[in-house]
Amino acid sequence: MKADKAKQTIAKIDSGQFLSHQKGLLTRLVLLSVAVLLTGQIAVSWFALVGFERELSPQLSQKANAVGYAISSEIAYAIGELSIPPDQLVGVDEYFENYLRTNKDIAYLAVLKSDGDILFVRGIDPVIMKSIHTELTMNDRMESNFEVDVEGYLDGSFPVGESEFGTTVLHVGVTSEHIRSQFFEMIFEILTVIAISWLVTFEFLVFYMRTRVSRPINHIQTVLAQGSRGVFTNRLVERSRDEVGQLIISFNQLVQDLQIKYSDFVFEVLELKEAQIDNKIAKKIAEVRERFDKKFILTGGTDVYSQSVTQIRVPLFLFIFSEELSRSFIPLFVSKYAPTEMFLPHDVLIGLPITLFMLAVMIATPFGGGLVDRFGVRRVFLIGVAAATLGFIGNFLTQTYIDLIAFRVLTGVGYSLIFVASEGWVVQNAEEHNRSSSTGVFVTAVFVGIVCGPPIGGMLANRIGFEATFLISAVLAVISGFIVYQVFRSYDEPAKSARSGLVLGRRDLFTLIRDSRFFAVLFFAAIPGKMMLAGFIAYLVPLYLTQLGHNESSVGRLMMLYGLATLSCIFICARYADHTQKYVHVIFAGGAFAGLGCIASIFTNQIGINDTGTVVTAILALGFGHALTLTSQNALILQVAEAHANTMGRASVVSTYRLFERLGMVIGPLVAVMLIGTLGYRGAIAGFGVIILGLILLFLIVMTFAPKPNAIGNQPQYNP
Amino acid sequence: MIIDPMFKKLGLSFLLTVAASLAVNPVTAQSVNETPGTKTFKIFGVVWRGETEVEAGFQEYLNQRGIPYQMTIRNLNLSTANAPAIIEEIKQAKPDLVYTWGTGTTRNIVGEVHENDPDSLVREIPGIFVLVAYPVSAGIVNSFENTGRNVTGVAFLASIKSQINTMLAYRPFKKIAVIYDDKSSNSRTNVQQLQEVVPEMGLELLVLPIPRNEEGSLIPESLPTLIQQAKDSGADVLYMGPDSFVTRHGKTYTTAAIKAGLPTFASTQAPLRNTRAMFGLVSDYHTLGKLAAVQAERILIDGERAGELPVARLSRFKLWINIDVANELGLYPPMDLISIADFRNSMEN
Repeated sequence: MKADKAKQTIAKIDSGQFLSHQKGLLTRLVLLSVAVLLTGQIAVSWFALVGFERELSPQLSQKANAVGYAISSEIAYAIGELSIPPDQLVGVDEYFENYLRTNKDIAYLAVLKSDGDILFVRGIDPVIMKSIHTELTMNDRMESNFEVDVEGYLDGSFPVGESEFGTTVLHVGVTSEHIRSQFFEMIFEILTVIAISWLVTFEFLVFYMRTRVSRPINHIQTVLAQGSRGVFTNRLVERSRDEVGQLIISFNQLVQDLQIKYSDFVFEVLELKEAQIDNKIAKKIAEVRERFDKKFILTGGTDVYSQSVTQIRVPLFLFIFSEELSRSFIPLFVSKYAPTEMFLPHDVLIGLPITLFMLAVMIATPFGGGLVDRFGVRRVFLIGVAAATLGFIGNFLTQTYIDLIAFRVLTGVGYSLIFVASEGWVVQNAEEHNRSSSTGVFVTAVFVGIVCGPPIGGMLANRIGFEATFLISAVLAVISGFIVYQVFRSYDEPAKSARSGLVLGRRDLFTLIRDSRFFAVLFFAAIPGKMMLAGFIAYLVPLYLTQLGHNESSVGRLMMLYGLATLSCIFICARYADHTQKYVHVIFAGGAFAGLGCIASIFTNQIGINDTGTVVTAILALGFGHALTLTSQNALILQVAEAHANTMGRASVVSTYRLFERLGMVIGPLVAVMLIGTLGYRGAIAGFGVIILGLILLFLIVMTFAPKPNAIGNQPQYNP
Repeated sequence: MIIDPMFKKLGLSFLLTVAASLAVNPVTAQSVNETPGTKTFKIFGVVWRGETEVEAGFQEYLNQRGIPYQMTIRNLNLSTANAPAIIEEIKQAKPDLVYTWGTGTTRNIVGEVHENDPDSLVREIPGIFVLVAYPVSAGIVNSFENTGRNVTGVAFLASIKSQINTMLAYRPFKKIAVIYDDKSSNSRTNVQQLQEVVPEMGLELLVLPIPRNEEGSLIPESLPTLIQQAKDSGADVLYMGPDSFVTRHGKTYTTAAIKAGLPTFASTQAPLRNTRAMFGLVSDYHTLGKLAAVQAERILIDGERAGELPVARLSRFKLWINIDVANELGLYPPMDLISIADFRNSMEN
């Protein structure tokens, strides 16, 4: 009976009955730290930007001045020393084009006769050039210091030679647009860093508050509540020696003292009872003791552990973050090492490491499930961290294409182990009543990583190079492992993994595939979704954006939009789908939205959206689309699993689904290579759109005619 | 005007020094850089038509490196008949290194790779050649990487491809004409290479061998006719390879070319320096000499075998433009080449 009570205690700890208090403290802390962070960040950024603006302008005119002198001295040499008549200079257009291409801050270059006749001009409308020249001549402001502002340009003029035409003049123009674009680039970077620092601060605050403060306090409260009912048997197990830990030690001391005093008391009562001659009194004493024992339980002890789903949040986030750091530049990194002559086309070679990484994740996952069953979450997580870290370090030291692939595959194996272990932890610690908030923890950790990784990784790669960024990934992975090593110390016992039910016989597999609902969700919704992640987001986007002239930092920022879009509404979508039970329609809406967003690339140019805007449209459409589909797909599969629960077991159905879903990630890059090869980048985006739109239509048709089983709950899930 | 006597003295001694150094260098064909106590290397050089910048560069490098040497230079004076006497002298002197200038000189002094005539050729002493256009086709070495004998050297021609690319950087020429001596091995190799490369680059090539008289010797007077013929068949540029006959009659050739309104591209320095070729991608003779001296240093000081040293190549060549010829033809150099090219005036060379 006592044991039962103790069990209830543990159960109640997770029941969230003190949630409002936690929220109060946590909200205040988060608000306060964000406010403090924000004030500091805004102040520092402001000073940085003001300084930047003050420094950049003079630097720019200095540089334009240097370019002006270099060009004018060459032209002057050609005219003066080599006696080439100014109007017969050869190849000036190409010569100017070269300068304009390599000096983005120079807007135009032109050679004019003193009367304003244009001999050569590049980068500006000749009519405007002529009016600039006329204006400068009239005001007598032909200067080389770039302080004259005409027609929105800063002009510098350099005489290049005397001839029968009078003085020939070179005009160099600088536009403030370049300064502005650099300025915006910097503002974007600062905002990204600020936003991500909030997210990370939030993650860590929640982690520490939950694990170190609110959860132990909840324990104490629960146990105290039992104390007020007379139960003084629970000892709280808490490893930390901080303030809360001290409190728990004193509490345990209190319980121990009470128990000692009680046994003294019992002894004295026994002595007193023995000493009585009058049986009535002795009986009375015994009765009193019995009544006391009914009101108070003071013997025995139950160890109460503090463990919760939240504990996995920071380590998982850190690891996903470390892997996502390279997301924005993997294809570029690979193309540096991919051999040009091999039995496969170059584009395929660039996509291959992504495909093989996904294949490694896919193959290692079922084994990971077995490992978690045998060795427990903590050990498997640590093995995963070790493998992934080795992989990162290997990529840091990459010499050849082959070792690049080998180490990516190793990282993939680590990734899958960490994923399986984290999922196992969630399954192990989630209670029926809070399963959806538990899986929410999981989805949040993963998506916050997906949001933060690419932009930060891009900025790092831009400054320290691809290889060194992998080293930072390794460091982050090690930190994630260290937290798991520390925090999960007491949890080495084997756990039941989420994947343990995988092994399906061939007959069961065929039955499952023949289930039209399973088939439709897998092949028409889930696989295309994963295909888009690997083929579009991870492969096409970085390559295309780089070709459009974005640096790694900018690519990472734009990729972040996918995660942001998904994260911003995945929970609302899940709640809506759960509420209405219209999973099929929600999935269809998501797929169609993503598909149409991609197909839009056919006509975005006509409505004034540039190439970058087109990519962004597709990324956002995919992000919002996935917010709709991810959770509802999961709910549908659980329905299917319910139907087969008796024959093959729910877990097996879900695991089979998860395993095959990853096929999409394996084929993604290859589909992208094929589409880009035949249709070009923009065409490929539209091609992807057509594919997913077509499949989602098939999905709708099949699901409309398929028999409907009973409804079941829905939780946000994420499966890489 | 009063001149400080001290200054006068200094100025005079300075002038004397300069005069002395001028007097010594070109007259004596012997340079010495001796350090007492160490071995002085004996180098024997044979040139084809007098000393050039190559020898100057060669000796400058050895001096800079402080290598003790004594260099004797003999001149074949455009005639192979002078070879036997010089070979005899070399055999008497027993130098540590033999230096030969040009294909003809090299073949007549150290011979071809498979010849084995220790009496009429210098075979045992390590050799270095310079200004040999095609050492492999001339049979002097087996290959650039592995010479196959105790001889190495420096290559001096830019690759045909970079030569053509240079021409194209100047103007988008379409049809190249080459006028050549079809009996000379250098010229034949050169034309063969042109025939391979030019069509590959999408251009036309017009090959015009120089006609011969009854005695079989080439007719210099035919050059203007051939040039006019090239012009009439639509050629827009003339290519002058490492052909000694054409080089010797460079004045006739280039004058006719200018008259026909055709630019001449030269692959060697002589037609640019001595005649009126318009432009060319050539190696700098001084640098070439230094590169040969690096080879010499490895043989003399580091004790490496000449046969184990690959034939060295220059990595940079000089774009030489005779701007007076360009202006006369109205073919002004494009702006992109202005900062790269070495502008000269053919009349002042």
